[in-house]
Amino acid sequence: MTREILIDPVTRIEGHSRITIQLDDAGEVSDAHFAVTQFRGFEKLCQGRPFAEMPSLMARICGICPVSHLIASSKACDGILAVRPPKTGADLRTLMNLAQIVQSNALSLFHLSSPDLLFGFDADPATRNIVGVATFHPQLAKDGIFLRKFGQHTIFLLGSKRIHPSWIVPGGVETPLTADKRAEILAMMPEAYAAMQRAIDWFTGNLMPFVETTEVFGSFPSAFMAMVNDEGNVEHYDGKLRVVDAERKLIAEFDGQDYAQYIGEGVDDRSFLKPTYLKSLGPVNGVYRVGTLARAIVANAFGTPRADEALGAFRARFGIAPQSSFHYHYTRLLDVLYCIERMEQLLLQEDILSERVLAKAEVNSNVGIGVSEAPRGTLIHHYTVDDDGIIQTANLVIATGHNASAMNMSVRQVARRYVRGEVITEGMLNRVEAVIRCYDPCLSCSTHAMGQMPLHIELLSPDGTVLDEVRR
Amino acid sequence: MTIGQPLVIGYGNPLRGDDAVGHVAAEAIAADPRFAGVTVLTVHQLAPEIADDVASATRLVIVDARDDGSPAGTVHVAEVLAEAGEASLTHHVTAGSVLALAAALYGQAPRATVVTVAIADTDTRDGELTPLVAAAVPHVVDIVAGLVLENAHA
Repeated sequence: MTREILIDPVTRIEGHSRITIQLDDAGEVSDAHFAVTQFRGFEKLCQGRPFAEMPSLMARICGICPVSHLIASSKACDGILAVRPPKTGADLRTLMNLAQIVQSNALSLFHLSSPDLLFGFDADPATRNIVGVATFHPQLAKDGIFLRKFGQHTIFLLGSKRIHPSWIVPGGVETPLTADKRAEILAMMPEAYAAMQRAIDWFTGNLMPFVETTEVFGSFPSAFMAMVNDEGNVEHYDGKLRVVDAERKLIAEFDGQDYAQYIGEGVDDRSFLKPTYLKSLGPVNGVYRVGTLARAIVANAFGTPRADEALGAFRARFGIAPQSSFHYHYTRLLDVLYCIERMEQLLLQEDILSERVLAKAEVNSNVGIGVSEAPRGTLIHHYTVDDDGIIQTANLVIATGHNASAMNMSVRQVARRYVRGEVITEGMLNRVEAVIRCYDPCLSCSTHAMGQMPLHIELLSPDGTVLDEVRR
Repeated sequence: MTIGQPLVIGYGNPLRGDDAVGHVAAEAIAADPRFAGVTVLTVHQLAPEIADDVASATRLVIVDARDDGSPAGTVHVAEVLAEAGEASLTHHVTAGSVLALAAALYGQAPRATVVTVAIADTDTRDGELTPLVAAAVPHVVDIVAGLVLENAHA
């Protein structure tokens, strides 16, 4: 007789999801599945709207990473206008995107995942939370808070709002950067660097307890995809998409405009999340991962001194293509360090204060595709419009969709290692959730939560009888 | 924010009907001369970094929507106590967790009160409150003024 364990909803991720673990007659895990149970419908509700509304409308998909959607959407609209933003406009967009990545990755690592890493997966949940981090590791918590504020305040200075700024528009950005705002951002840089150095020192100095975790947390061969610049280095705003295999051999490198030739989108009957795959390898073998781990593997280097030194240490310790998704945490730190360095480089450019930041045009194309790197990985917005610029179709390929198949494989791997029998233990439950949090999936949560979202886990027999149940 | 001032935070989603009441009340408070010297913030939700602002405040008042079946427009006032227990559930934190964070990180947390308004709906619309909830906003502003004034005289 088979058994089923439900973890519904999964906590400390963005949005609502459910994990189902299937047991066989012997009580061993036969299958596991990660499903997204919320439906947003943005691709449908955009139809019939003017294309110029898309950036601000699409930013509402998420309250955590609205800038990512602003960037990809505005780039798609650039395509509809058939314009390229002035250099300073593109640089300022990049600046806001990097600030967004800093604050989002800081939230993921310091506030959502650090409790597991500091206290262990079996620790009492009463301690294993952000307040526990603040109590027992106050400097780390302060650093996380500072990096969040650094990113958020930069976004506020650029766009006048911390969440859902409408400053990025088709053709560029609405207003130039002023000298005083540039100075205010630069003044935060020394503390940002110091916070990152402390975080990297802490993380690299405390990896030993997680040797076993690294071996079973999504450790399997797969392809990886990320954006790279002309030098083959990390790029978050504008570059080609590069795909490598598990041994870091090149599978493909292509313009994001051609994504549909290379990436297929599947349908999972049990989830609202569309799993993607590499068309050349098919849905089963074409699994790939995106995000910070992919960026650290795919690119030749970051291209900034501090991040490259840190990347060198990472590769010296784990190789050039480590396959465990546990390394998303480490590479999240590298990514943030790079973003801070790149932000500083951009701010020190003479032309960053140029007033030429916006190109204006009418509809010149019926298709627009915008691609960028979001905190969690590659983000694609694809619109078609009629001659009046009214949206006919919209297709969004989000980072969590790219990672969907890998997340399923990871949940299966962790469940097979840690789930035993018909009783749900705290340690088992938390490890299954934690492997999902490695990917920091964004299932979108732009609505304000009213009340508490309880964690409900049920162990069910095939006839629906509850064998075990946990609420917290 | 300015250090050493009372802090008022209105929070909620301004695009979701009456959930905007925290924002609407905060905007009214910011425009009211009685609140000179009071820092007013509006946020979608309480995130960990707001502990930094909270720790610097002499008094904290949070205005939020409440969806518990009470008659729409009913105003409820409650003290907030520092607590860590709920902080692990989602990316946002509770008012009690914010206080606990402030105390743990900065060694101080202000006396805190949450003022909630019972709502009628959370339909999708931009900042427009239903009549009973809108009518409660001036009352909320007066309550917050009393709380802040009380602190100033303490």
